[in-house]
Amino acid sequence: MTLVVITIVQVAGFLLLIALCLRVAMARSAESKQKRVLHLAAYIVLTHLAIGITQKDAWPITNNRLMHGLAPPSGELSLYRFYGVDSDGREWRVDPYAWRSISAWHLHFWFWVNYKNLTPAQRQTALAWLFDRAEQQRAELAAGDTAISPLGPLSAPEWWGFERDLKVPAQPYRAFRVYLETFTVAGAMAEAEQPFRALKGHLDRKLIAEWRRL
Amino acid sequence: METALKARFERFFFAEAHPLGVIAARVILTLQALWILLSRPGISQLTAWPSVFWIGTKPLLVRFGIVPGAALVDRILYWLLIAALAAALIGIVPRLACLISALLLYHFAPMEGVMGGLPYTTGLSGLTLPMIGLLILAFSKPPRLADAPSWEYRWPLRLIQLIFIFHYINSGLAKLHWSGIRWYSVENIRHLAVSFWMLDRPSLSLDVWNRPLFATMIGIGIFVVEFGLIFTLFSKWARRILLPLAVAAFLLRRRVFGFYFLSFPSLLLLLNWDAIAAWWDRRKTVTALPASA
Repeated sequence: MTLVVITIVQVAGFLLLIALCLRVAMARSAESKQKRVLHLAAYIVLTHLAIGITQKDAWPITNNRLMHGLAPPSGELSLYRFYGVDSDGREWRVDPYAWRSISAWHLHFWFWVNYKNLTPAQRQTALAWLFDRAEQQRAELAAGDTAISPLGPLSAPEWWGFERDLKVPAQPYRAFRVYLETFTVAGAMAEAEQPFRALKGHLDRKLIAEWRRL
Repeated sequence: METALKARFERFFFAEAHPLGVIAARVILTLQALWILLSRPGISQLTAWPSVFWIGTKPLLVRFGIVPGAALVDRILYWLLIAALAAALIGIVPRLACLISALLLYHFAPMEGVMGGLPYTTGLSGLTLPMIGLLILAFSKPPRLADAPSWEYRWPLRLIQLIFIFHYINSGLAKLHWSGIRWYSVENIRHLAVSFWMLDRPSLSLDVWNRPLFATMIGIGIFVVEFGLIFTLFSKWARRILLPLAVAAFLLRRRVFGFYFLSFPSLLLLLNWDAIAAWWDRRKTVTALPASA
């Protein structure tokens, strides 16, 4: 119920923005138009300030929340990462642009929020779909096609510039694995002191899911 | 005092402006949207993903008019959006083109955020300002380059500039809300840099970790840009200092933290378009003089 009310308020906020714009366009005199522009301006400024202060979601009024947290040495950062497995059992990290329609970061959040709540059948459906996407891109990369879109090198990157993984096996993947990889800030600090000797001891890697091609 | 303030306020929104500013805004916003959308053609196929990926998103689906399974409709709408943006770019039925673009961006831009359960992250897509900016342009007077300066060409650009600047202010407010002023401390900037180095090895992360002075400059620079960029609307000196600083922040963000700021083309909106138009007119006059002499 609460969610429905919030959604109604969010949609109403957007419709009010359209209505205020329309009101400006329909003004008959310059004086009236200027007055209405000021109403629109007040709405834009006040809603942006309110969203900035409360950090609620009311897109397209955006809170532009990014990298807003502290990183104390005791802090952890966990990410779902995706791997294809070749016929020799070797794991290859799937390129973050393999999903095409959704960024690797959003897919990470989808796993974070939803995966544990799915039935076994739903999990299989999701993993099989992602496997197909990863395999489709593997074939393209193996053929030398590394472009992320028809714009080629001019393509817009994802906002989080995850390192690309362009090395793929020549043979198709046989399986697909999802790991939850956890980094600690203290671990990163320790490794940064010796960057040429990758310690990796701080990396916790937990297998979350596996899907095998029949 | 009150009258002076009111006059300043009215000048801010309604002083006569050259039409070039609004034309530039339309071009910048449409090009930015086209660049991002053409780089993500898969967005038109997101509703083809199995329904399991849309679990738990029902209110958001209603809010943004997303229908899982309606991939064919979305494919048509995607190309309609591209066509509308192209029409807005070159000024064919600009108000209608801007309106269609804005409404379809409202549908497409949040899609991956909705699937990921985080609609607010649409703010990072680079499509927010085009969406809301084109909506404003849809209801303002369509500009023609040959038009005389008019107050009708001031307010739409001012509103779009304000919204863009709120991207920065709200990013700062988010840091204060969730972390407090400590976010900008040298210690936190160094820790963030080393954490993101761990993830994706951005090229300058370790330089920030190893050089506290560099981290101090970044912390101060981010604070100044986030809360100071608004002064670019009032002062040419602020524009001369803060715009290059904002460009530097854009370049460093990728190299230190591994993030792209996809709205960076919108920084062009903050240029003084009246001055550029005046410079262009002077240049035309000077070029025309020898012929007429």
